[in-house]
Amino acid sequence: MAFIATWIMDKMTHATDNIENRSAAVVSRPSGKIRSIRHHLLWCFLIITLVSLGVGCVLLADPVGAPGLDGQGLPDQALAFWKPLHWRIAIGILLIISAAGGLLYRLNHMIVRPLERTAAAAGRMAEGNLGETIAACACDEIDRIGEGVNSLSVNFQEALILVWNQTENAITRIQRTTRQLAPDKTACGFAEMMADLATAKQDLETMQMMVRSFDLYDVTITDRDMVTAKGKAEVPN
Amino acid sequence: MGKSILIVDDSSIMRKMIKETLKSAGHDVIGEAKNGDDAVVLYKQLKPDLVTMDITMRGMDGFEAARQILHDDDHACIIFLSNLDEAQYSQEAAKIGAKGYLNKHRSKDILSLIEQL
Repeated sequence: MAFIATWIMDKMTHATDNIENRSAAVVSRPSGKIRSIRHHLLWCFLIITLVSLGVGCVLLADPVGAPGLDGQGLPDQALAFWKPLHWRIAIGILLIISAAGGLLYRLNHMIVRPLERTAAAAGRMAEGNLGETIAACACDEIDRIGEGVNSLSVNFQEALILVWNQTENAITRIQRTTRQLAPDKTACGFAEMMADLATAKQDLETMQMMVRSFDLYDVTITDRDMVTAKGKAEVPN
Repeated sequence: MGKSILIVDDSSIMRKMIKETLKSAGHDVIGEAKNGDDAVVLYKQLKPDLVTMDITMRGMDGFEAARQILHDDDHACIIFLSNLDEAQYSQEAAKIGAKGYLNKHRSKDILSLIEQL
């Protein structure tokens, strides 16, 4: 039984471990509650199995002078009743255990694994990888969580792109103004003006560095440009 | 007279901003799509006067969606609204058959272009 439990646990956690290992550097916290749900499901299965087997053993046990599996010790009339019945009990117990196993596997597949995938992807997004997408079809509550996280990521990317574009425009204007002022170095307050412009430019470049630190979806920022990751080559003629 | 418009953008915030801009000018936003696949389906259902189309979207992108819409309806009126460099992508948009290419954060330009159409 312990071997079976270990094997089931290994199988149930295998997919999740793969997901978590991929993002091991990112998701440092183990998904404690999700693991706990999985353990509860496994314990439910083990308890149902043990109870079913226990009930089966009681029902199929050899009472005083009663038959074993081969029905020895019963009168013919009782044997005719008992023999088909104890096979039905055995089959019934197997069906209960199978149904419980199937149901719990399904719960694991429908709830626990999607939650784990969503948690792992959300962790990677939180680290700045906005290209991450959670596979979701909005058909149930868990998928809607994934959709919500995806939407948040898209809106955040939109805000970052806006910051990038606006800072780029401002830097261009500062550079132009600096060039225009350069010949008139003797003008009153020239040094302060140049220092202010240099500081403003530096602040804007810092904002751009922040934008660059994100991995954007389908967009690549080159030295000064923002282009689609797919590039122009894929655009139809 | 206001036009019936389908907004296609993967960002809900951008859809909201574009919608507010268009409504303020008396246009009627009859549908919103968050990717190219939805845009193609909604265009067939709603037959809007105009489509505002983003380029970078998860799933089918704006260029592909525009191509499919124009394949189904030669007279479809599509304007690309994007954050990407206008000089670099506007020619590609024109080749597909779009009526214009604008920076999506310049709302007044969008309204002016729609008036010209």
